[in-house]
Amino acid sequence: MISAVSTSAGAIASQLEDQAEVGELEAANASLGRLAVLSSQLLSSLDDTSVSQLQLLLE
Amino acid sequence: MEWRGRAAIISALGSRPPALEILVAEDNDFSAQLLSELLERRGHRVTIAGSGNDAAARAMRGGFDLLLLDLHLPGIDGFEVVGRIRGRELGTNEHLPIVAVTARSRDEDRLRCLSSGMDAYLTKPVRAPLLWSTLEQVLGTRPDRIGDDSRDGVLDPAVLLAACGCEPELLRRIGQALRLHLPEELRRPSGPWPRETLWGFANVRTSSMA
Repeated sequence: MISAVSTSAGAIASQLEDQAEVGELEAANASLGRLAVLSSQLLSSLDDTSVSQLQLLLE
Repeated sequence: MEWRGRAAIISALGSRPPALEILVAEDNDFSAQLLSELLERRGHRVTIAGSGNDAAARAMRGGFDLLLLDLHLPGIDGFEVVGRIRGRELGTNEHLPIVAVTARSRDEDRLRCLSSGMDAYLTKPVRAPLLWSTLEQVLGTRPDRIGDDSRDGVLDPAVLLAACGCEPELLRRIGQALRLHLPEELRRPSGPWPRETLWGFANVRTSSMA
């Protein structure tokens, strides 16, 4: 889901799932913290971003 | 901890690169000297930390705009340094930009750096043009960036445009869907999280969080 809008956030989400699955709770906590910050930034950015701004970033 | 913060950096920027307080964590004297000379020629002020413990202590005392962090340091390694710094930042609005500097160049190394809380990743030998563009990226001083605060860089324009087909309405719906389906724990930075929360993410694959 997150990877649909952010490659880096998607990668961290995958890593978090892996860490949680094998019980690496300390590492998972750090990943979750990082992902929470990114997710919050993502939601704010999406609210303020238009198609034309995204296209400008690609030029 | 007191970071100057990106807003302060940007407000001081004007049309010239700002003079930054940069902490360089590097135990190799030659590499440290090269990085220092590069950065100081651009007007930045550099402090060298020769060990992981020294880097973490200096970073957490504050006053730096950026940390360039070698991953292999005497004492605690770069990942532990980042863990301590990010641990102190949890629940605050503070965020010290951290760029890993390492000889490792595999995708999994890059992923590990980003997932541990680093903002960007540079491989040795450091090339000046890439160093400058990376600093601009993590400090939000690139001229083509959207907005004027610290939120940029997380969106992936190519991926988003492909997902919405360049349709404004679809872009808006993607934002709404993300807000609706994102787990509650991810909507506001906080922490540390209880074990139950973390274990919950072990079962999230079926809902395709990533």
